[in-house]
Amino acid sequence: MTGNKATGIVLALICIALACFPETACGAPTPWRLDSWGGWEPLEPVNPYATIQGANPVSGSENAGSSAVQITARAELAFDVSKAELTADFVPVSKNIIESDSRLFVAPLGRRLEWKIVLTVRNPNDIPMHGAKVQGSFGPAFRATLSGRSKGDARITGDDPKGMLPMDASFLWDVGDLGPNEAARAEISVATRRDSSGRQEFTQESVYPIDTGFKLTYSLLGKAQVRNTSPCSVIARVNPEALRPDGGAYDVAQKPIEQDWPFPERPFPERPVLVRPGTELPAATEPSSVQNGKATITRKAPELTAEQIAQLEESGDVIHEDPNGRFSVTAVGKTGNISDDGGRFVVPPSEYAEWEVDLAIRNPSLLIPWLKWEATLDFGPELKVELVSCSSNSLVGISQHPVTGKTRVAWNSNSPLLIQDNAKAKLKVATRKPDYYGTPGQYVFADNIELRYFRVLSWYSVGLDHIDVNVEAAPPSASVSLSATRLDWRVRKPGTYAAEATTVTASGIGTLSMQFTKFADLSRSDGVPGTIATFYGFGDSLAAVEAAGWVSAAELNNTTRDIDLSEPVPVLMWSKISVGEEVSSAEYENKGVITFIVSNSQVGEGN
Amino acid sequence: MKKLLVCFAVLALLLVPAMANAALPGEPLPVGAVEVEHWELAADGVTWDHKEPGNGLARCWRSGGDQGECNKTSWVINITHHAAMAQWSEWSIGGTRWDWRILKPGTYAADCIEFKLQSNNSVLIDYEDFADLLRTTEGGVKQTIDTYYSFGESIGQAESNGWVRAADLNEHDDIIPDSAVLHVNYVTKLFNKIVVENCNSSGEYEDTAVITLTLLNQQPWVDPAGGWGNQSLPTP
Repeated sequence: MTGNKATGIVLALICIALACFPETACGAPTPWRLDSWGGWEPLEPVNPYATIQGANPVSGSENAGSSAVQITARAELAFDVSKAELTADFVPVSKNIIESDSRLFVAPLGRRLEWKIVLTVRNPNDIPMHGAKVQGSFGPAFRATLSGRSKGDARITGDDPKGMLPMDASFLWDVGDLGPNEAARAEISVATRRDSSGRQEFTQESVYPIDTGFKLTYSLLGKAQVRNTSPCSVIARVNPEALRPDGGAYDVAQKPIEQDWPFPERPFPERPVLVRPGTELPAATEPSSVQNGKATITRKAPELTAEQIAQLEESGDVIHEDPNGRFSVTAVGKTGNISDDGGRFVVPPSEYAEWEVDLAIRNPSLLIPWLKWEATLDFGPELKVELVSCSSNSLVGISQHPVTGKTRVAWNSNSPLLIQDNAKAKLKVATRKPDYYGTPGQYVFADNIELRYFRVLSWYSVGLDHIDVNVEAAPPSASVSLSATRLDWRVRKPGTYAAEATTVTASGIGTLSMQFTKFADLSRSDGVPGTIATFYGFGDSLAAVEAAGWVSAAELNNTTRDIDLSEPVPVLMWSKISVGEEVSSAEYENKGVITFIVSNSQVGEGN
Repeated sequence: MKKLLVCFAVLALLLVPAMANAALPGEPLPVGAVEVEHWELAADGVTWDHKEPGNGLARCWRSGGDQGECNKTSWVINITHHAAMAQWSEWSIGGTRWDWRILKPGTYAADCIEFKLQSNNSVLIDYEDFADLLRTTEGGVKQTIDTYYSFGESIGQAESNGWVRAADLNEHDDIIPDSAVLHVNYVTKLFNKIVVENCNSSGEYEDTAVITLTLLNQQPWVDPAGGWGNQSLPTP
């Protein structure tokens, strides 16, 4: 509601009060509202705009030349206003950034990390807000650059221009006035700061604040208002995936840049899910038989048969069997590249994979303890094993066979395992560097899994099935994000202009090829002959593009750029237009096509 | 002494479209477009000058971010590259004043004033307040000197183009259409012809007129003074 509208409503209320005055004796009058088309709209008794009440009816019948009736019209204005909205969306650009929640990320050491921050200010009210300003500051571990904004003036101050000195940078965005339901947006790029040695990465495990939270100040109906966002931080770890509280692996993906604007009610699309070629995305309620990142295989001793129990009872024992039995081995995949398929693990070749293996034994007897016991198992030669924990009074020996390379784990105790008692051990198992599982094929994860225990006068033995690993090349898949698919220039004078057109961010498995077609010089939209010479280039900066060289739009066609998804880096595509004096004032446009093709081939293979 | 004084006051190169139906409608920016930094190549042809959003001779907006998960063989993304070009002009006028000094009656002509005009679309030339030169003081037998104007590269061309009486020139607005010549450099000369008669008493005669140049195909996002105007155009 604008001020003029508010005044209009006041006047309307007064007019309504006057016009309806004779009716007040008959009950509450009906209010009308002048709509945007200039027509009068009757309002229901309950409505979001205005209500009116009549009172103190009077009447007169006299011959006086004039009669005076005092009329009082009163209007009370109480605008139904909502606070302005300030949102700060942190969109990971770099691979390997794990989103713990919207304000906390986990990221590895030794990598350049980049986020895009999308700030949105929205006035949800029917009245304008004035003097909107957004302020904030960035942590010293990051370098922030302003990518753009839709309205007002914005700047980042206090930052070292070369990004070398660790100092806090302040952000100030003078949005200005926002009309009813108007919104404004700004984009900031934040990356790990380059240190004196030229490295642009975290080198120590710690928690690094990205920002201190953004503050929006504005005036609404003459009253100062403030809105804040929560600060965002990143936890840097050698192994960021180990931080996930539920034990599963994180999905690593990039949020897409929000497309609908200016009202950010629409949530970001669901995160991409990697699936095998030729298969549909699994339905949310129908889990696939292959589950990446949560692969679990358990081997446990079968429950004692009735005959076995009878034999034991004849010897004076009483057995209380439980579902976990006397011996179990449970292996859980910890890295996201492990799946289980029909009781065997599936992992890709030449990649690090990690499991957690739980060993558990239990004496089900109600009368007889196990005087001695030992559990043993052999892990494949491609694996290394570390002890995480084990029950007290037990020992775990880990040794590698000098010939076979297998790792034998021997878990035992010289203390008796009392009746109904149990013992547990936990192992960390991971593929060995540098080859991991080098080539596709079937491998033994663990075999010779056996529990031996001594009760009364005899040794008893429980053997479990071996656990296998299928090493398979992962199917190619990719997640692609483009920061923009449209570039609009407005040009006042002839000259040569350049800007970053779009950033292609990709992740996945295999090689992603970008093929360009239908690119051309911009041509007049009205059909009149005339073009603007257009060029494209690729590089992290304009200087890099200049060094690599620009390619004319026509020459860009039928060229291919490959992205190795094993080490993907964002591809920055730049546009250059040369506007000569011969270019008439008009609209010019070209619609090109980029086709992304994901494949198994390595970069450099084929044509 | 008969001193003839002509003063052209070319007030300014008005950028307000005189013919509203000729101005470009403009194309609104896409919903969600965000203005981004850009670079402008300096005159040395090597140096790129960085321009923050809102600054420079051109401005750039990005929009339409897209994202997808790609298991299928190919994934097609349409890229739109759009440029809206405003109308610009460079112009010069060799002088804004003619001064005749005449000893004897006769018919005289001179070019004196050279127009150079460069623009990337049609330009309207509007003439106002042209009239015969008027004696600046009271008295005399004939108060005015008959005055004519014509354009051309030479007196012969001006003659063949035809002389227009000063007062009639006000009704003869010219549109210089968009052409290759106009983009490069359109040059013409304004010829002036006066007919001094025996009945013109010695004295000072003068007329002051106005020529207005108007860019006819300007974008709506350019403000009347030629700077950046309101970039928000109504969505069609």
